[in-house]
Amino acid sequence: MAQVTVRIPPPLRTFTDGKDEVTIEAEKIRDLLDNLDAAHPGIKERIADDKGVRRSVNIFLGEEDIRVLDALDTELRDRDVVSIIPAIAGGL
Amino acid sequence: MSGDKPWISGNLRITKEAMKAIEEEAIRCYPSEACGFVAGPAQDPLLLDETIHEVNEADKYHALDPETFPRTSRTYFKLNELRASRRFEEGEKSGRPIKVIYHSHTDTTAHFSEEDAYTFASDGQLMWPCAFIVVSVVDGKVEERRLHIHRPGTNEFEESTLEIIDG
Repeated sequence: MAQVTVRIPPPLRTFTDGKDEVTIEAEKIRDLLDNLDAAHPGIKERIADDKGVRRSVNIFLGEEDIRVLDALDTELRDRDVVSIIPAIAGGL
Repeated sequence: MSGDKPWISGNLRITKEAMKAIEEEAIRCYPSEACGFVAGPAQDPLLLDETIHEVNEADKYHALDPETFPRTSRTYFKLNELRASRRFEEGEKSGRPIKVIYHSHTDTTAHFSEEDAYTFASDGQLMWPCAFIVVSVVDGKVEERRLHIHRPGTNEFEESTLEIIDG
């Protein structure tokens, strides 16, 4: 089980008692979201739904969006940094 | 949130040069949507004087995951949010915060769309500490530009005034 730093964006810090970073143990991004939600109930629903990561949110592992990796099955290693970042997107 | 970031409440002034840079980029990208930021000095919170263009990655995401991202760059914009978050941090540290996210619409008005609102507000919270400029390009020419701001406590946005001034 990898120990991972998760960066929390300002709008979601209400779930983490104002903390901008938390440490979570997980093997894959999928587990990370479950374990993050166990520690900070309600946060997962803002990030993902049953189809995967919401269009309005991004999860970066290091410098890469997990959508270009293995999405929720992306594997994690010790000392990885995962950044949860709201989307900057839109259109007609 | 507006306490230390008054620009999210609107009534902004933008220099002619900064507005011209947005419009030239919108025309260059047509019929795709253009996107980027506008920054300004922290000590003059309602002034916008620097346009920063970003790459629209909508087509990349559409090719990668067409179910989640059903639209192409003609009707959608998306930029690299990790790079964006660093720009926001650098802007804060340097005294030149990013105050506006801008994008263009193709062959329609400069309204704030449902998709824009879905992205930029959730549970009544504004997701990025910004106001929003939308420029419409019709038949390759800029038709209008509008400033939109978040209505606090809701997922809705409303228009505000944007004055174009001599630099």
